Amino acid sequence: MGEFIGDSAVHSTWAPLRGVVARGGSVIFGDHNTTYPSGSGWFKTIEGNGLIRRRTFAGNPELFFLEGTAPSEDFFAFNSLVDPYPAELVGKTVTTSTSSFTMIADAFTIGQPAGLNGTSPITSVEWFEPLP
Amino acid sequence: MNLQPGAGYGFTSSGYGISIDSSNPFPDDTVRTRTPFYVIVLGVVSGGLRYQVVSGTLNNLVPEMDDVVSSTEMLLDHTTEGVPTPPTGVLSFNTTTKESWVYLRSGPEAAAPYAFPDPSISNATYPKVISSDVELSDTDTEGYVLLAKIDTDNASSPTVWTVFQYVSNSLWGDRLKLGTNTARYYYARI
Repeated sequence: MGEFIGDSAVHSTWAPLRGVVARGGSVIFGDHNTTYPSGSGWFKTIEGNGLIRRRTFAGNPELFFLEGTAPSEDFFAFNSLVDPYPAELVGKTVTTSTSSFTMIADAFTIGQPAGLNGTSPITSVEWFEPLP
Repeated sequence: MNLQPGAGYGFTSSGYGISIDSSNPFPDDTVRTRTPFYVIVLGVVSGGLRYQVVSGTLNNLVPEMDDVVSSTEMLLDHTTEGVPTPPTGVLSFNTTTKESWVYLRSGPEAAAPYAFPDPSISNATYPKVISSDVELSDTDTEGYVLLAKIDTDNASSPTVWTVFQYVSNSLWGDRLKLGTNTARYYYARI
């Protein structure tokens, strides 16, 4: 069953169903009030109001990157995205401070190999930018 | 059988008898029977066009308003002995465009727990209905919802006016701020 926006404090407006992408930043929460600090701890969309849809209680979509040691590849995952974003982001580029790779469908489910010699943190994701 | 005048009808008597006067079937009701945040223009008093606003809520808080009669701030649902005695404001008109904008202004708490709107009535960021002679834009500390706009024929001594009502429900609101971008405020009617 769907949710009635405006029916309760949790589903007060569509704003609680929107967020930015987390890379590991802090956030200031209050009732009906969220402030994401500047910097690369959070990524906003380049277009529009910077927000993407998210599940109500799942929190923000989150980037995960784990450095590997050759011959093991680095590991990348883009968690908690809702449709249609996973399909639309396949083939887009992720950049770390020393490497770049393209996202495949596995990135949004089980995670994907991400090449060699990548160094944390992720510095950019195509279609997204750090908060100003 | 007794017949008495009521809402929407009355009686007139003349040498030809008594007749029903229904020329005003939907009389302009008081704050008791209007929808939330309905703006009622009362008329000119001491050169200023006075107005009242029907009580509503923003995130379950009843806004306040400056009352010109008592020179105090009152909640919109103010009563005296059970009878509505809401605050009465004075519309502020733009002298060029002859327009007045009635906003619901509110902002977040400046310190933890950072609720929006600020639930402390003593703070300036508690929800408040204001009249402005210019259009207002959101800031990090205050968001504005346009409740109504009033146009008049003369900004300094109005004789004719029209109310454009834009909000007719109580509201839920959320505030989101991304980095250095100005905070955005989102509202849903309930």
